[in-house]
Amino acid sequence: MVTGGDRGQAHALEAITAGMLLLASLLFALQVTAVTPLTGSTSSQHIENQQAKLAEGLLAAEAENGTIVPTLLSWNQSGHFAGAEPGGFHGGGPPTAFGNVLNRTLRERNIAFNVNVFYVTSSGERSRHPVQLVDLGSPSDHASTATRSFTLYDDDVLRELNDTDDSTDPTGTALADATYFAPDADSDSRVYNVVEVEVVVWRM
Amino acid sequence: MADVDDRGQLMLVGALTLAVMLVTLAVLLNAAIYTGNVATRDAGPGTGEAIEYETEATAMARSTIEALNERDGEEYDHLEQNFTDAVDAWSGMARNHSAVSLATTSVTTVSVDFGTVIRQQDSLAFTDPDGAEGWRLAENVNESRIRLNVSQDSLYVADSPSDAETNALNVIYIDGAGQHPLRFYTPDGTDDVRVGVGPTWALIGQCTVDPGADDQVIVDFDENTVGGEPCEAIGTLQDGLGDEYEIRIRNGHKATGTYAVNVNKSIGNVAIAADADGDDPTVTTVLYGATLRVTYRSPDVYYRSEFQVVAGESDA
Repeated sequence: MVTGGDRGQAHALEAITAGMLLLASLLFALQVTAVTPLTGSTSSQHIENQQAKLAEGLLAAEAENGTIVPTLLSWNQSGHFAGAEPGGFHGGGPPTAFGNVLNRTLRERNIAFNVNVFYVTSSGERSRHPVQLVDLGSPSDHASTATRSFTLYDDDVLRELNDTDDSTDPTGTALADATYFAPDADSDSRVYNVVEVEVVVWRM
Repeated sequence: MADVDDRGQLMLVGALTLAVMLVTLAVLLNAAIYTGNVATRDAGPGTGEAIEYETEATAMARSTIEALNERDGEEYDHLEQNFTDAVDAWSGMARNHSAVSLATTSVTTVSVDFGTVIRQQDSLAFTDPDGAEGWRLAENVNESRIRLNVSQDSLYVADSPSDAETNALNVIYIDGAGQHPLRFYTPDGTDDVRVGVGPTWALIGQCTVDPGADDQVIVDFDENTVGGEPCEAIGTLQDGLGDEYEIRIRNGHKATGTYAVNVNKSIGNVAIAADADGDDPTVTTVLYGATLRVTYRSPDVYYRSEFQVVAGESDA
């Protein structure tokens, strides 16, 4: 036990120790909390999940309605989709039923989207670079995708746009005779090609 | 107040308690946030993709059978070979796309059912090629799909079911248990088309429909509809049939229309003397259906299943 004259030092030491202990525990407590993945921001995990499900649902519904293959078939044989510039549609969805659904579901909710179409090349492999149906820019780091495959047959015909009601009309040219972005991957059977439509969505 | 000598100890213990409380609070908060994170992650081992693959394979198989059946007069071997080629080609192409999602997929044909279709495409009486009004379409049939399009004003006007049984158009299934007729007539005093199902002494049901402006009524035995309206009696009659049965027509001159009868026997087994190239009705080879096996394997999911595709069936 210290004598009366050194009591101040002992008190000071106690206070410093207690203070340091408090500070250390506070620092430790703050270091271990897990934040950010769920905080409200455009890069939240919730939003990514929600957008992925939205894109998947959209593809499934439109596949059931049969609007996607006619849009894929509206190709004007000059190297781009009917009504689009050579790199695809840059202002939104194509002027077909599928494009209308894309615009109403995604663009009106401020979700940007790209639609890429992968096909099977004549050597039997998947194409490395897709044909872009809709190109609204480069996706952000937190984009999500949804994909679905569709089958094209030799006797499917190319289609052209019908401006009066945003639909497509068949032309007389069958896929087997036309210049199309996908080749006839198997000439012995009636299956022309299998294409995969990928919809990339991200928050603008 | 405590003694001067014990104040240090007091402060130390107080500080320790406070520290432990803070750490506990932090650990609780951490646990809550982490649980929330894990619970809202995208769960699911990806079984949705396996089902999507099977759905697309089914659609492809059905579309291929229907396209092949539109060609008349092909040999069964050609039809089977074309179908198998299409399925193999599709399987190879789709595998490229599935590989990107780290899944191996394949579809193979297990078996193909040969069938025959007896078809009348011009609107004529329901008589056989020689003009007989009572004739047999097919015998030893296991499965069949019949679709008729009759015009109302050609039907017999009957005043009772037994009158219709004797005098109106009858399509009769005959199996080991007896006769199961379906009668097509117009009830006296109306302009409707009525289909009486079952023998008159054991009536299963009756379906009556107004033919509308074009005077035609489509009766579909596969979808159990009369003029688009559901008629469950037809389904009940077909469910009660034995394994093998015969299809006959009686009073074929009492109705005019077109029809298509698909049976799952090959053309050599169908007892009808009609020609593929002659006048209506014609008989031609078709594929009745096929059985395919689909395999989907990914790191989390191994799915293998066999499914059957029947030509002309709707997706419902």
